[in-house]
Order: sequence, then C-alpha cells, then structure tokens
Amino acid sequence: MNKGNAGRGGWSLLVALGAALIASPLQAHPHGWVDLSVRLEVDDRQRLTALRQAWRMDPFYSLVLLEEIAASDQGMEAALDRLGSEIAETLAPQGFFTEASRNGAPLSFAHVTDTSVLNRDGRIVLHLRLPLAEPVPLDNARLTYRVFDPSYYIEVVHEADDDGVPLANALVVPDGLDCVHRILAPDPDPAQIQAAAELDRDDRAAPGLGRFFAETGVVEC
Amino acid sequence: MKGAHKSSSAALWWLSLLALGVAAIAWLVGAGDGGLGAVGRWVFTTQRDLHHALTDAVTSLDRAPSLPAWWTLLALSFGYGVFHAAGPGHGKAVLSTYLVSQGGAWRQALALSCAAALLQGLVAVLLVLALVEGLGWMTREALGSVAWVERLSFALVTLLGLGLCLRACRDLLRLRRSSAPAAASVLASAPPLGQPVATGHGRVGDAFGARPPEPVFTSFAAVTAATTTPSPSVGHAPGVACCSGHHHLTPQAIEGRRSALLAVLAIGARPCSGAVLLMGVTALLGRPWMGVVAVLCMSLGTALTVSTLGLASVLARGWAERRLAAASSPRRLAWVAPLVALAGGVVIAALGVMLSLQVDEGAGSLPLLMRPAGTGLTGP
Repeated sequence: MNKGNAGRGGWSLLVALGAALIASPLQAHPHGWVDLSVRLEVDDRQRLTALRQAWRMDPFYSLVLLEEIAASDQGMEAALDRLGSEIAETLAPQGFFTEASRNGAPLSFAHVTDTSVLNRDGRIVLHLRLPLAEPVPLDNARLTYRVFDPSYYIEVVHEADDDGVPLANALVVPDGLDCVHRILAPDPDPAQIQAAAELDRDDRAAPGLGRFFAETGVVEC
Repeated sequence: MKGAHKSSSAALWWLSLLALGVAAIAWLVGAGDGGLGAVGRWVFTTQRDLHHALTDAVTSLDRAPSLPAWWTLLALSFGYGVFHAAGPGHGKAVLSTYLVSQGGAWRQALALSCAAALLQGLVAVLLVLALVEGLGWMTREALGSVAWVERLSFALVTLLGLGLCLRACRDLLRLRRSSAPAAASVLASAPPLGQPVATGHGRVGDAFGARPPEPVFTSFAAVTAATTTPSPSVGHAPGVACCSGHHHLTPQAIEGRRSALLAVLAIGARPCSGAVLLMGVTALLGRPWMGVVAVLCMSLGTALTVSTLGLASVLARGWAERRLAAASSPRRLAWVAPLVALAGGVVIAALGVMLSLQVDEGAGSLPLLMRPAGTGLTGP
C-alpha cells in the first residue's frame, strides 16, 4: 500500500472521528418549546409599564401537564390556578426567562403580578404580566427584549405560521404609540457560543446557550 | 534495544489518538452548553425541527389516523434517531474510546453499536410501560425517573472503565512475568485481580474457554461464568465478530466479550429523553403501540449513526496498528496494546466519574416549568 495515501486516509479518519465526538454537546437541543406572544403595556403618559406575555406550551408538555391537572381532585379551575402559581414560583428566580433593554441599558423587572393558566385546545397557555421596576418613557427609545430558557432545554419562539413568519399577535404594541416593531431571528455565532460555554463554567457570566438561540423583539419609537 | 526509538515514535500515534479522545470527552463534559461549529449548528437546528415535526406528527396521527400519517411518524422517528445520534452524548464517547483503546473487529463494532442503540430504545419503552402502565405513575414522574437511570448508566460507565483498567493491568503483569521462565504457573494466580470486573455471560465463557492460547482466561471465565446478564438480546451480538479480530494487538477474546457486554449496557442503559417523552405521550394518548413502533424506529436511526462512529473507530485503530506494526518489533508491540487499553480504561472511568458528578450538580439547574430539581423533563 502506498504509505502516503494510507497516512492521509488515517488522518482524515481521525479528524472525522474527532468531529463526530465534538458534535456531542449538540445533545443539548431543546426537548420542548413555548410559543410566545408579547404585548407592551403602557400608562397614560405612554411610558412602558409592563410586558404582558402568553406562553403556549408545546403539545407534549401540555399533555403531561394536563394529565396532572386531570388527576387533581380540586377540579380543573383550582388545578390550573395552582399550576400557574407553581410555574411563577419556579420561574421567579430565573427572571421569568426575560431580558430587556432600552437604548442598550438593561431594564429591571419587579415580580410578576397576574398569572393565569388556560387549557386552549389541548395546549396549556400561561398568561403573565411582568412589570418594570419603574416605568420608562418610550419616545425616541429602542426597546429590545428576549425571552429564553438559559439552558435551552425549552425553546421559546414567537407565535409564527408554518413558514416561520411571526403572527400579528406575536408582538403587539398599543395603538397610540408611533412605533415600528419586528422580531429578529437568532443568529448564533459559534465563537460567541463557545465563549459563553466557557464563562458558564465559572458561574460568572449570565448563563447560557439559550440566549444565542433566542429571538429578539425590537420596538423603535 | 534497537526497536526502542521506533516503538516510542509509534506510541506517539497512539498517544495522539488517545489525546483526541480525551479532548473530545473534555469537550463533551465541559461544554454541555456550547461548542457548536457551523456543521453543528445545522445538526442542531435539524434536530429541533425534527422534534417539532415529530410532535405535530403524533398529534395529527392521534386526531386522524391514516397510513400517510403513520409513514410520516415513522420516517420522522427514524430521522430523529439519526440526528440524535448516540442519544446520550456520553454513549458516543464511551463507544469510540472503547473501540479505539481496546480494539475489536468491524463486525464487533457494528454489533456493539446496534445492540446499544436498540437497548436504549427498549429501556425507554419498558421504563414508561412499567412505571406508567404498570405502577400507575404520573407521566411526569416517569420522565423524571430518567435521571435515576442516568445515574445507573454513569455508574456502569465507571465500572466499565475500572474493569478495563484491571484487565489491562493484569495483561501487563502477565507480560512481565512471561519473560520469566516460570511464567505459566505464576499466571494462574492472576485472575482474582479481575474479578470485580466480571459481567459475563455463561455461554461466552464456555465457548471461548476452550481456546488454546489462553489458559488463564479459561479459569477466570469459569469463576465468573455464573454472573448473569440482564439483556439477552445483546449477549450473542459481539461474539460473532471477535474471532475475526485476531490480531497481534487485539486483547483477549473472552474478556473482550465480557467487557463489550458491559459497554453495551453502559451505553444503552440510559434512554434518550426524547424517546421517553414520545413513549410517555403516546401512552397518555392511549396509544402506547404507536410509541413502541416510533421509538424502535428511532433506535434504528440511532443505530445507523452510532455504528458509523463505531466503524470509524475500528478503522482508526486499524490504521494506527498498521503504522505501529511497521515501526516496531513484535515484542514491543505486545506491551503497547495493554498500555493503550489501560489508558482507554482510565479515560472511560474518568468519564463515568465526571458524568456522575455532573448529574447531581445539574439536576437543580434545569429550567423546569414546575418543580425544580430531579423531577420533570430532565436530560442533556
């Protein structure tokens, strides 16, 4: 056998093997998703006061939750309410998966005020109101937000049609405001993702992979 | 000593091979959240799209059963399996480290990969059927139990690694003694060293005990032959192949089969969360058979990917062996194989330990919509 050829073959094999193994972290793909819709809530001075969100759980997750609700002896309504407060409790320490900024400055949120859970056509829908710590004016402001599960175990996507085009209810800005809005698809940069993974090991950086796969809602007024 | 230089340069090949394995594992363990390349991104988004499509397929099949809907579900399940690759990421790392460091023929690699993939599907099916249908658990609780099976699987990985280390140590010891004149009689005392390793199959021991070159292993096999094996489906698989891997570098056949079995269990014991979820949901819909068929299709897809990796590992080792054989004397070669096997064992054991530690740390950090830590949809 020609030694040079054998050597090249061997090396390319090793590279392929290595690549296959390096693909392992890809196991961290989401195992469930949430269809998101967001509505801006403003006060009478046109300041942003809260993000109202509706999370529509995927059919599998909904089925699993519905089984528990059905098994509850408190009745459907009470069980749904309890589910709502349980979810709120779990998500509160994680900032309700929501990050927002105004003109590049991060906004801080207060605790979620109203949560309610519905069963809509076999899908569990969680409604929540995430108030800002203090209202911010929207004139000449560029508001961006992302809703994501940092670990990317659950993927959060805006409500969209089959082609991935956002639906009208995906992001709603109140009528009185003179704003344009759009939803940006995620564009994860491999280097950025790698850096995030490295920072995560020290628990210093805000976690995760999920951020880089998050859609960004943009509102410009 | 004229072969010393050549064999050390040849050993470098082995070291670089192992280094590759270690780097890959470090990547796997450390970068659970990252490490995506451009190709990775494509695999990633395809996985996600398949997951969405699979969910839709189950939902629509549940609402309106039809032949096309069935085909769609089965095709999607197969595709999901292919892309989900080894299911748990550690399976691939264990498999290729095992095959590269311990050796084995391509048929053994195929059998091992397929057996592990099918076992994975089987565990998912049985777990849900037993817990939900049998014991009446809530589906969410059954999904949470994956975390426990995961712990078991990681313990098996550790056990496999330790077993391989012990075996390699014993081989080294035997080699050392075989240079002394009284080798044969001393050999017989070695077996107990390996005893904790044993996860054997009676038939395997019998069949191979009669092989002429290895009296040591015959007695060892006799000691451990009574150990039962929980999965009959994998018992016969690797055996077909190991005779053809009769190389001067290939580790002993009997032990090989025993550890191959343990490798299958270690890789296959942990079901893929996606398969468990699919099984759980179809059971919830009152159509567990739909889940069984879909999960088995998934396993076939997984088997395809994993056996490709297995074959690549065998080819890589074969290539390195040839280079090594060309470069060193047979006597030195005899030392290289157990040393490499030892290194592989250490890597696998370390992987097992790291994964076991990771389970506990990671359990609470999962973003469960409901109760955190341990329950709910856990998994990598």
